[in-house]
Amino acid sequence: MASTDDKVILKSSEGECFEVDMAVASHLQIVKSVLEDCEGSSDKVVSLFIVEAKYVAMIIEYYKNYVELKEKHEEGGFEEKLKEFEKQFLEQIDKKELKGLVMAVNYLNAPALFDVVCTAIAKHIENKSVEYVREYFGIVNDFTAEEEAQIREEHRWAYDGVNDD
Amino acid sequence: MSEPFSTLSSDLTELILSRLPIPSLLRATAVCKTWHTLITSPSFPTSHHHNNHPWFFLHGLHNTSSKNNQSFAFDPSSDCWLRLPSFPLHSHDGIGSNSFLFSTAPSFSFSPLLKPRWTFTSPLRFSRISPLLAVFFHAPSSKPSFIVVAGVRFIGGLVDIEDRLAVEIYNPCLDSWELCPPLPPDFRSGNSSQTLSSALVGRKFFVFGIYSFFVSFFDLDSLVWSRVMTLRPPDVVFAFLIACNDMLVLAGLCNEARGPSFNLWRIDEKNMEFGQFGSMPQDLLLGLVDSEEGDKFASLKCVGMRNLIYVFNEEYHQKYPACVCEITSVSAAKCRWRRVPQLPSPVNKFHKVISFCSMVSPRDLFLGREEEARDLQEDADD
Repeated sequence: MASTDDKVILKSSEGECFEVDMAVASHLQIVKSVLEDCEGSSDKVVSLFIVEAKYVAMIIEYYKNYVELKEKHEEGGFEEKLKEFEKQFLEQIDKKELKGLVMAVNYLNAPALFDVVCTAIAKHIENKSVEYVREYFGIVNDFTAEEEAQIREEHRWAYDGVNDD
Repeated sequence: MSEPFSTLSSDLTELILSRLPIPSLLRATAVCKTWHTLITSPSFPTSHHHNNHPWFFLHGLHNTSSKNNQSFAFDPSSDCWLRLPSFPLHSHDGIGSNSFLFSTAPSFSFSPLLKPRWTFTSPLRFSRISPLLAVFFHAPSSKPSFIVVAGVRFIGGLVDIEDRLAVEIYNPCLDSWELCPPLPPDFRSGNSSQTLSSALVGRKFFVFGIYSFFVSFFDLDSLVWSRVMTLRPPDVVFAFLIACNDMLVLAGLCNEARGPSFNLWRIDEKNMEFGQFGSMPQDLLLGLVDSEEGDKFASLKCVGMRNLIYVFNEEYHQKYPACVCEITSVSAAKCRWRRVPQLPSPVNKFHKVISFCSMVSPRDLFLGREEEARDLQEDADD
């Protein structure tokens, strides 16, 4: 049984607390640096001011599995198993949540998951129309109609076969 | 955390966008001004592994009506074909080599792929069609040099089969061609790219006879040919030589007792010893041909570079079915085969197809504009 020294409490923006193993939390660079700053203090609570509870839960789930798989497959095969898990992990996240998640992960500075989420977002918009991408990212088109037409004309061949779902 | 996504920092946006395959990236430039500036900036990261795979180009030529010509490009990262604006060729002959398209006769000209803008060089000493051609660089940032080997010459409308044409090497600084010794005489029976295949590995330009199995290389530093050797794995009927990640690979059809097979061999460039490391799955091989015909495998062609080898059928009524082999580990020479999707309809009837592989970099696609502006400025200054 791990001692309480090996645990840390992560507090979401709503004030919800998550008790997490240090081995898991140390993958979040921000948690590491906060704890280093207040070394010696008995209080091991880290407030993640801008991160909602649902994203804290997702991030913990990812790194819990990451740590477990790494231990279990020390001899090899870790990367393959991780890929399998990442696929399942992404399946249960809705496309809108991906956006919140990438900002949360970026804030917490967690490189492995950051790469996974960025790739998932890129994959999601890969074969989508310009209009869909704007809507997805909440971007307002600031080109004039002429400017946009000119940009499209320049690489017209790249606009075939996109879908708008 | 309910801020709209547009509050993503530009660093974060850049990291996401750099993971897009090239066609999606081009479309992303039309999303908004910020994205356009970000993506077209020279500092935009373009070396992401998603875009490190060579594309496969098919350019179909119709012999009487050039409006029936069509150009297609296959992007392996998005696993889709793109219909390109037809390359405006100057003749009925064209050659693609990394990032460039060439027309060799009646005059020699070249253009960046996907951004047609033709540059004419001083003429070749020996004008020719269907030569072997490669692009190389004297220094990493220098202008591209070209090597032109073999090919056929027309004399009074007839093909001159006797003439062994000198190797010519283009010097981009002087706009001149240097004459070098021709291909060794062993290769005489058929000197065009129809019967020869070539591969540039380091500073060695290898030439291989698709049906003769002779092999020799031209050293780009000493400007001489090596002695001619034979490279013929058992039962092979025809084969192509390909440079994959600085490794020499032979890809060819074998007629074994148990039936036809399409195989890959890793070649030791010092002694031309070969070791088979891959074989196309039978269902893919049969999917490339029309089972009605006798010599149905004869029209298979093969091109490749870096980590990919494309095999396709050059017969028009087959609509050019293709498959691709990814070499996943260079040292272990492991590979993975898959089918390439069908060409997007309609596909016209062609009399000739030009096929080649090339890397495509977003930088090439956007840099063009600045270069054009600079070229125009230079022209105006002249």
